Amino acid sequence: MTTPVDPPKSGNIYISDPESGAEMARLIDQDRLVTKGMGGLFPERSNDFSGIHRVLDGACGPGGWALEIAFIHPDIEVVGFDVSQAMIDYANAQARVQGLDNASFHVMNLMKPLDFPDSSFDLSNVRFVNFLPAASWPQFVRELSRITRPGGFIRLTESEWWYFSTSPALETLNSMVIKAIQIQGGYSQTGRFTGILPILGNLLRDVGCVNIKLVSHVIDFSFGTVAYEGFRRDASVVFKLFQPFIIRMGVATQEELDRLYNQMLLEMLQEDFRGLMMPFTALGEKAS
Amino acid sequence: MQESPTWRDLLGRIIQDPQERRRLTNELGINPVTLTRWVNNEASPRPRSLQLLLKALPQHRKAFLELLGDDFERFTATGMEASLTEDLLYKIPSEFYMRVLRTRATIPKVLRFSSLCDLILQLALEQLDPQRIGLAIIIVRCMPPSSEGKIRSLRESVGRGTPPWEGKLDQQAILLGAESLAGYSVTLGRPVVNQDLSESQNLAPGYHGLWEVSAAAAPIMLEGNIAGCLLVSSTQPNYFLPLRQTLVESYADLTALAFEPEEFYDVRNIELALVPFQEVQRSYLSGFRSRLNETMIHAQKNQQSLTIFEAEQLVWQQFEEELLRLLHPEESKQEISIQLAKGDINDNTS
Repeated sequence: MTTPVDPPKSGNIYISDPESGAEMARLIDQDRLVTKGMGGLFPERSNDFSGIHRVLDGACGPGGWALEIAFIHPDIEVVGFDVSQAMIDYANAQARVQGLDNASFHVMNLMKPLDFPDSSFDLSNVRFVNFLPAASWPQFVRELSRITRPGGFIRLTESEWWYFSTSPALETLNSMVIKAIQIQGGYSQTGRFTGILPILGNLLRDVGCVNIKLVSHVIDFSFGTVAYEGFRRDASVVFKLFQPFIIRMGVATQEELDRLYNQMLLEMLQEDFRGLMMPFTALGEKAS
Repeated sequence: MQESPTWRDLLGRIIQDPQERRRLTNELGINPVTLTRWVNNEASPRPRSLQLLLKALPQHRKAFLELLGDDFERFTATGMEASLTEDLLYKIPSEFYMRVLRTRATIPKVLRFSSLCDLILQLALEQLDPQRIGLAIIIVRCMPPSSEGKIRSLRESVGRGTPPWEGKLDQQAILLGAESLAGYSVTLGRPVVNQDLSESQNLAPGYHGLWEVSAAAAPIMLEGNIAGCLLVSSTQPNYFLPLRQTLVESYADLTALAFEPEEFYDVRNIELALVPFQEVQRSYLSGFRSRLNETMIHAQKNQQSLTIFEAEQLVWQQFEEELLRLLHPEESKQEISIQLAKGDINDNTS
């Protein structure tokens, strides 16, 4: 999703410019890398979409996950929303040029009431919004529950922020982002972890979900792996684009970030570089 | 007199195999009865279903396209294009232009080339191969000029593909020379196409890469000068019909925004040499990463300011020099002499 971080009342709610095509291109690539690394679009159900006719992708960014479902399953109607008009325009244009008339995208804010009728989706999916203020999570999961039909699924996927690696510079940059998110009002208690992973199952339980599954995935992006180049590229973009946010939160100076950024690029080029991303999914069934 | 077979007859034969029938219904997302109704001429597929059918049966694609022409013309190769809204499929949507222009206006310089190329290639790939039949798009850029001010080769830079190609093609990059379709396009300063690279009688330039059956290249230009070209390869013969060629040219024009003005060269200074076959190049380029590391570490030790992107360019220049020397030893000796005389390179390179 396009990434709000400042308190909404501040007016400046973006971790990076939502109009930026660089962030958009990064999100499209990241989406593909992560979906592939996790084993598909719905790996917790062995990618089985039987009985699912209408899917929601909340905070969809440029719509990668939703468009992929629309492409593979022409019989499924897919709806996505994001807070960024630019992302939504782009996602709709992508659907048009691919001839995907079963996909549509709308501007909506995950932190506000959603403009969908009750029980209108068989599967409601939200991924990678761990920057959201802690206070907004229960409310938006309640909204997801409202618009999901009884017997349908709610799927939340998150990751610690987000590289585990042998690169000291990358680790330091990660910790700076987490610290900035903590200052922003996230779940983190210490600034060492985002703190969201242990909460996901409870959030689903609290809205009455049953048969809750907690599934973790491991994506190896060490040097020489299939995922390596994509993650290296992602890191080179994300830790440049997020620098203004880290500075704004008072976590580091531009000079510190410049030095760490160059160091990270070099460390990730080394043949002994090792890295893991571990996405974590909580899948719940809305009680009938 | 026996009637000519139709595409319905062909489909009927194919779905006599229950496994194939089941596979097709799954891949098209339709009911088995619908397939039977098509075969029995009780119903006709919608364009999207037909596109999925062609994609699901690549070995019969050519036969289907020929037979479909007899049934309803709009589904022949050219007819299919005409049946769909041209503006929608063969013009870059205005949202894409806005996004690229906005990005160029706001992006940090260090990310400009890679991020703009990523963005443009993502769009181009979706639009040029919406059914994922198999397409590769590569941004090919001129290598910096030699000491005599001449461009001697091109290098593949950022690339994207749909299966059977990998999603990202950057790691397979090689140098291209006068013998390539990209080289031909850059030398002429205009778009070129080769509709069937596998034909032995085909006199058009370009070599037959793995999975590559047809290809198109369009120069990336600014004020009549050239920075490289957009090279697009397809698994299908005759894929680059006129509207699609125009779309490739439009994406090449858009890609010009990713380059710096000084990276565009006067066409009179483009004198591409032949470069070694890709197999030879790959064995050389296997050492690319370690050389890049050495270059970066060396720069760091000497407290030189060198970005990864600058270091990559330097290493590519070293490889170009070595690879051209393989095919043009005398020429390279002269070049080295000139550079030594000018003090451009150290004596230990010979």
